[in-house]
Amino acid sequence: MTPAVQTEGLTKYYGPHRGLEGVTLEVPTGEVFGFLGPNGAGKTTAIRLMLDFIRPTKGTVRLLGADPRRSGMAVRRRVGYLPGELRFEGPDRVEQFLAFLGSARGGVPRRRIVELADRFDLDLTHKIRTLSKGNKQKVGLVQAFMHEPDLLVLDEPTGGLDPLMQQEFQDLVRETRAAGQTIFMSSHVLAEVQQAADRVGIVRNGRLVAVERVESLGKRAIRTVQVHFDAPVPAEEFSGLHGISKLRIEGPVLHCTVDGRLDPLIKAAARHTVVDLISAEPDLEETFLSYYYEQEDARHD
Amino acid sequence: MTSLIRKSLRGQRRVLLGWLLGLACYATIYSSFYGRFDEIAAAKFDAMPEAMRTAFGWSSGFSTGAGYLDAVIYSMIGPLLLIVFAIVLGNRGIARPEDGGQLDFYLANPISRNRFLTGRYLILAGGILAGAAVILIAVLSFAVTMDMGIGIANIIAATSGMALVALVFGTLAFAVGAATGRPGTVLGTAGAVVVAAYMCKVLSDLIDELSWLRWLSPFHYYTANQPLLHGLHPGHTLVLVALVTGLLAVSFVTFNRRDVGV
Ligand SMILES: Nc1ncnc2c1ncn2[C@@H]1O[C@H](COP(=O)(O)OP(=O)(O)OP(=O)(O)O)[C@@H](O)[C@H]1O
Ligand SMILES: [Mg+2]
Repeated sequence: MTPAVQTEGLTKYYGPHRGLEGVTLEVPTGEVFGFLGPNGAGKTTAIRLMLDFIRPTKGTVRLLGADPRRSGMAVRRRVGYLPGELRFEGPDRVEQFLAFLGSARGGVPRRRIVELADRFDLDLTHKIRTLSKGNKQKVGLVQAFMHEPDLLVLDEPTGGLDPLMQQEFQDLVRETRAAGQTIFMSSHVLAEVQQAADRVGIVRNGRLVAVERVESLGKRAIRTVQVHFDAPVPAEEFSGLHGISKLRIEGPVLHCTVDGRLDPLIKAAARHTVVDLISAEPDLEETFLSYYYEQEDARHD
Repeated sequence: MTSLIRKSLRGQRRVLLGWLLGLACYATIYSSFYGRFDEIAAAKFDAMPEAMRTAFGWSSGFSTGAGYLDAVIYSMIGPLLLIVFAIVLGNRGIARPEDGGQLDFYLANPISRNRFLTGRYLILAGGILAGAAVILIAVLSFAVTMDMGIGIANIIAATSGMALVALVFGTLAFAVGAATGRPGTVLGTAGAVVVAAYMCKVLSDLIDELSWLRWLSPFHYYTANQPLLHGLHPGHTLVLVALVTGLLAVSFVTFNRRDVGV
């Protein structure tokens, strides 16, 4: 089956400024893909390249097996897009705006619009201009999902949404995935895509630095560990252990972070009398950031 | 296409209505003054130095109906008002919404860039057409009731010529917007070109050695034949039409090639 999104060496320079550099990526049909990265990483650039708003400096992008430039009409009929920054022209009411987009996409049943608006608790009769940021975001979400596109390209979909609505969005993503649709969404927050995504790609300084299945990100989780002994222990017994960093010993208490298995630490600790052992929940956020730091270190070496 | 136009129109409704109302008032008030313009004022005006009248673009006398309409509407203020209106609309075609980041919601749909441009251009062209129609209706009704002694056909011709000049500058603004997406560039370029074009016409009328400058000015192709007296010159009209077509072609070519919303 042709992948829903396929890029090869995708590169974009804004004049001399790098936006994206050599991104090669494949998102198979039916997958939920989280595109993660800090501010200015190149997420929006990649998404705007997919929709043919901007053209690659080098490389190619294919959406649903087609070139978004040459077959733009056919592709965009099957794509739902949520811009990272929502700007609406004119004094439209939500209803009018959605009706326009519906007709541009060949007709969307009103029932479907009402159903989505109800889910997000969005009043269709309001003027879009007067809506709060979060409510504008809901308009953006409703229009992206309303024509049941094969592929959704969402730039920071939960921006401005309150926790309740974020949960509603997560549910919608799960249902959409169950219906066989593909979702490509960008975010800053791993926790957000982790709930619904199958895989995440991490982009930094314009480069795709890692693509991981969400489960395996969990496996190589970094955790913070405290070991309480009955007497002070020598630091050198622990400092060289595999996967251990940020080692600190305060009297009989050892603090450290562990990347991966706890085994080396447990074996070393077992030589002394262990009073207590506290291991904090794997912090995916920290795991995610560790990708950045690793890349950074590799570069400086 | 109709839904795109309706959607775009909603965004421009106030601008369009405001301008059409303004143009209607202007044309009505000035046309209706014809009766109240007394002989002495007319004589004084006729006694104005030739160069001064030329600078204002008033070619014939003030005392005839054609001379009066030419002076108060068709030679300067009318075209300039319509041109400003056209540039406002041209800027709103692409540049202004693009600068506001509003194009994403149009172009993410199965609306090709060509279709989008066409829809937006039709609003510009329709706006100018409506503006000219409003002026025409006002002028015609007074020209007929006050018996100004000008043929209806010539009033239609002069109004069309004026609208065509406005369309040239409106299309220029539209084209610069399509090529750059920057309202500042649009307004700067269009303003500079209007002033330059007007200066070319005035200087060519005043200074014999510079008379060749008139060929550079769209105004010349509208006024040279004195449309209120003699109708439109087919060749000159064709030049204006060619300018509009050329600028429109530039819009389509450049807008299709470039990055949008950067
Ligand atoms: N129009 C532009 N002109 C010049 N540089 C640009 C332009 N747009 C983006 N950039 C640069 O390209 C890089 C990537 O920007 P992009 O908007 O894709 O980041 P992002 O990952 O979406 O960030 P954020 O999380 O803040 O939305 C940044 O360094 C940015 O400064
Ligand atoms: Mg972004």
